[in-house]
Amino acid sequence: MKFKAVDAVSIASILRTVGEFMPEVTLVSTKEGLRLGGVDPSRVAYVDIVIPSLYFQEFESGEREVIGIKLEDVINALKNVKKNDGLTFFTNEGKLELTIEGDFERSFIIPLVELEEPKNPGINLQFAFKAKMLTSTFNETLDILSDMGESVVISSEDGKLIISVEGDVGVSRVELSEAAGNLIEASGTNASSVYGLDYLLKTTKMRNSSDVVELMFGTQLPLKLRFQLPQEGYGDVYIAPRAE
Amino acid sequence: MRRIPAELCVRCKGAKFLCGLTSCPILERFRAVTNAASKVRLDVGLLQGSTPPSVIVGEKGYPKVSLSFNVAPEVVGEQARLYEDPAGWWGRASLHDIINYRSSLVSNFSMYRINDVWKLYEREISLATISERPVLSESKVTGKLETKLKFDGIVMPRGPTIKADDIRVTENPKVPKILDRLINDDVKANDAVLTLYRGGEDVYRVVSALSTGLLGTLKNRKLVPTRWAITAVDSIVGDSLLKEVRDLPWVSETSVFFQGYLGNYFHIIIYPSSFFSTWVEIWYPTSLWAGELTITDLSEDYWGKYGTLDGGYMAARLAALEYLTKIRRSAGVMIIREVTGEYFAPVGNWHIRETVRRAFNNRLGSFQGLGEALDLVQGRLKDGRVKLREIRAIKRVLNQTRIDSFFDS
Repeated sequence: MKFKAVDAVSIASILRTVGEFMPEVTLVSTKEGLRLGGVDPSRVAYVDIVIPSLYFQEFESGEREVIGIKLEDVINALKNVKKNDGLTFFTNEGKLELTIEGDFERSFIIPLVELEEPKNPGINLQFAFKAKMLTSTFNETLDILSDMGESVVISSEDGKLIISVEGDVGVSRVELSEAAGNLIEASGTNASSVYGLDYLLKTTKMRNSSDVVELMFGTQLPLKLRFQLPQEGYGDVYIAPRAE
Repeated sequence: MRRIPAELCVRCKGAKFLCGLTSCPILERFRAVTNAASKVRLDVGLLQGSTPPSVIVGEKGYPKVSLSFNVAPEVVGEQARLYEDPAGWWGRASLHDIINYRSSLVSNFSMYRINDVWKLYEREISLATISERPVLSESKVTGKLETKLKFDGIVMPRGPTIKADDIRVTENPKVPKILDRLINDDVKANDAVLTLYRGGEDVYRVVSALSTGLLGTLKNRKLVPTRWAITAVDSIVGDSLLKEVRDLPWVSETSVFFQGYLGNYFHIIIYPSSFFSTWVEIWYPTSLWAGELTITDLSEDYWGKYGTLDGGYMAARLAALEYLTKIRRSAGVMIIREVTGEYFAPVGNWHIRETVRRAFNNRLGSFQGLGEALDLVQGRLKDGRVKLREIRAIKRVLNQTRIDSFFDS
């Protein structure tokens, strides 16, 4: 497996996001591209990232190659990447060679770990409401609410998306709508569910990799966040609801 | 601390126990303090006796801090150990006994800058505080003996205080080999704490070593206020154990454990899950700090992230993680602490660590699930008005669904 990306920051942000959910991850590469993710250890969230081969400047893969990496090692290696740095991943004899090309070239050799090959679970849900917005809008909303409490109520009322947090000192509420210009698209019926705010906050690093996020949910259904990636790639994060 | 109205004490005069306690804390403290004070030779400015060992580095005025080298006046040798012996006290000493021991220990203090560690080392003062046996000392003291006792939720109570102009250690401290080696090694404090813990040193000696600046890279050694050192050691060791526990297989059944000491009662539920910890404190009316029924809570996730740093929780967490490491299993942990009116004076957080450690030797039973275990604990609470299932941190665990329940079968 070998791939080279021109935007190291974007790949680093994807890996950092996955690293917020799980300590290790399996990368599966095929001719079509790269897929990584899994269920977090507390079994509350499921992450599924698909990066098509066209996303990369160079991409080489066998029919199906599977490697396991310890995310902390890779994230540490990528901690100083800059915007115009290039990044190459190359697997060789049980090791991952990682090269960052920028003002100067840095190389890291990281041991691979043995992980079970992931079975990508089917998760077909009929969401009551869908909204599309800029990832920056989504992040700003979470930023406003982040210190207010620990669970977030996501609801839809007459086409508007309402995200609110109830804390010790009161309720904070953010209303987003197409009419107000902060949703790109919105459709569906009224619904409401409660989610752990900490799980939503784990996704904020996707801002460096994705400009648009689609949010889908229904009453007592998981929240699905689809972060759009170039070349029809995506980063899906599913978060199980709280039964409140 | 709960205030007992002065008019009640005036009417009672220590004879009628109108405050509801079984003995009068004012008289007990008075007896212990006068006993200790009578043994300090103020006329010649001399304090002689062994340290159990016991030391407290204060935090007020940081980076210029007080170091209290605590001495049991005219007590020599093994007898002095009784005055600071958390593991030995557990289950044997009552709250009154502990207050008596601490009231009898004279806090022999001097001011130091935090980087004065080598001065203390050269005079063997810091070495005496980590000795395996009590160490005899002789101090030149000046000024008045302040008979006021100081209580704290994290640090052990401090007895009557007097300013020491000069402290002389007059007996060789017995320093454990592993500690002796680390004092001379250029090792980060974090690594040294872990080496000591893994080498079998008890956390109390590790706290004293860290507090008196005996650990860390040679150039950066500093005195660390004892209150900070206690939480730092709990946290460093706990974090290391958590890293180990996180990857272990889950426990297969839900269990409830129980133990109580000094008016503090702990129910601990261990349930099948990845590591997630919930800490609930129920302070009953007339208990310390609380005039009315007060409930506080916090949660720690799989990654070791928690909302607020709580010294009591860190002590209990260490004990719970020690248990999980011992059984080689990962689990969800729910610790419910009830603090009753019997706990009328704070004596530090050591008893939380020790009681939770011992709770794991007392399993009440195995249960079908978390709900059933909570029902048992609910029925055993001292006050049925507390509804466990309505406490925020517990609700968070009970209400959280799992993503795999939404996968296509």
